[in-house]
Amino acid sequence: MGFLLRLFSKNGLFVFFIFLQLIALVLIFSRNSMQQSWLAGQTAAFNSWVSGYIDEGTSYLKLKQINDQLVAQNKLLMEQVYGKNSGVPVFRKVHDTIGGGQIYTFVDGEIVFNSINRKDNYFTINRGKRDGVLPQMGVMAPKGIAGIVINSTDSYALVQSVLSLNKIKINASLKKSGYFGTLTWKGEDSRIMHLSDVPKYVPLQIGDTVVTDGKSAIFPQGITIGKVSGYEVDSKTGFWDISVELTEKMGNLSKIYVVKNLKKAEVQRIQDTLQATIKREK
Amino acid sequence: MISRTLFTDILMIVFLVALQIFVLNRITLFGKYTPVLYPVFIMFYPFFRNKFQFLALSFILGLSIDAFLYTWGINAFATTLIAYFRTLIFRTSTDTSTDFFSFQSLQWSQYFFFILSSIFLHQLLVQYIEFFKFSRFFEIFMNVLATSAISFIFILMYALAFRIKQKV
Repeated sequence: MGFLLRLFSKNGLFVFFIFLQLIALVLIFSRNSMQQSWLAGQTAAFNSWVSGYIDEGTSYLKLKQINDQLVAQNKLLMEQVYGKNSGVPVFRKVHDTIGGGQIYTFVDGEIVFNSINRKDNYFTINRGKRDGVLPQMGVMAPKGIAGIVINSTDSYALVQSVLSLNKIKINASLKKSGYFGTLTWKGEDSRIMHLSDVPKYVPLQIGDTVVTDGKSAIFPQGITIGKVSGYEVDSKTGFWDISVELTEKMGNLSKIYVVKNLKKAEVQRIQDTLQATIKREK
Repeated sequence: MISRTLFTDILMIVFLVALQIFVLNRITLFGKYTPVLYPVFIMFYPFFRNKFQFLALSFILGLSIDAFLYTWGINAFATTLIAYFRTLIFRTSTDTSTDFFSFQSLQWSQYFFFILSSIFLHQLLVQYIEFFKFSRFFEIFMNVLATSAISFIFILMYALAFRIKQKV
């Protein structure tokens, strides 16, 4: 208050002038339609400018939540696309505790450690036994396959990357012709894997899609692995040696999905009987 | 000569407003330019009188014009502004940095400059606030120049008729 009094006694005329000008300005902006509409427009623009920033900020804070939602949705879709057992005959009634053709489910996770430049590569994911991740389960990436779980603790699992010299053999097939072979890595290029055991008479074309074969119980059938980028006859075996360029870049993997085969035990049991039969025959 | 009091000032405002509204605003030179005379009250108000009263009267003068033209606050804003900065404009017009404010001490060219810059500043404010569109900057500026020039002639006529340079 003392400040105001001093201001007024010292610069009284100026304060009075400002006071009159303020009255005039209030009149201008409240009684003239053009200025009024301009003021309304400016206020609206300022409002939207500020709330735009606020919206952007809040949406940025929500990104993680949205990401989780998307992953969950993606998981659901993948279960629908890959998880159905198309081989179940519809006319036979099978006692099935999980009620239907679901044979694969997926656990989503993230890579916490990854390597691509060794002879045998491994990566660690942030899902473990608590999430039902067990050894011998397949690990997929959004655009292809990534590896096979070899060990799991309560909340982490160690995955053998597909980029492993001798430890990984994946059943893969050519999508067009259906011929299958074994996919291995030769240790040179993290983008290229090799498909062998495909007979020489199978017609090939650069760009043909290579997909997983359903015969291993690790990966569902029909997941894209890569595209044929070159082929030649392996002189030792007489089969094609096909170079497959992976669609998933192993160097920048972050999101992965662990494939859980719900009928693996059952498949294993039936395969064990085969072993037993062979043994008995011997 | 009647000595000027608050009463005569108010009478003069009434006279100027009536002259401006009922006579000068009906004159449109070259189709669109209207001469503006009422700022003479501010320009030729005697120096060394109560400045608060002077500002308040200027504001009332502008507001009265606004009341008739339905341009609420625009003329009041401009008139109060040139009233407040009158001494500054006067000082700018003279070449001496004296505190002796009198039109008698001015040369004619300095006198013209004072009138012209006052009316120009007034019109600049009034027209830009009234049209309120920067997209028509040059159009409005031309209008300001023309109106200022025409008003200058009318104000000069007024000043010569009432022999203001000799009195104030």
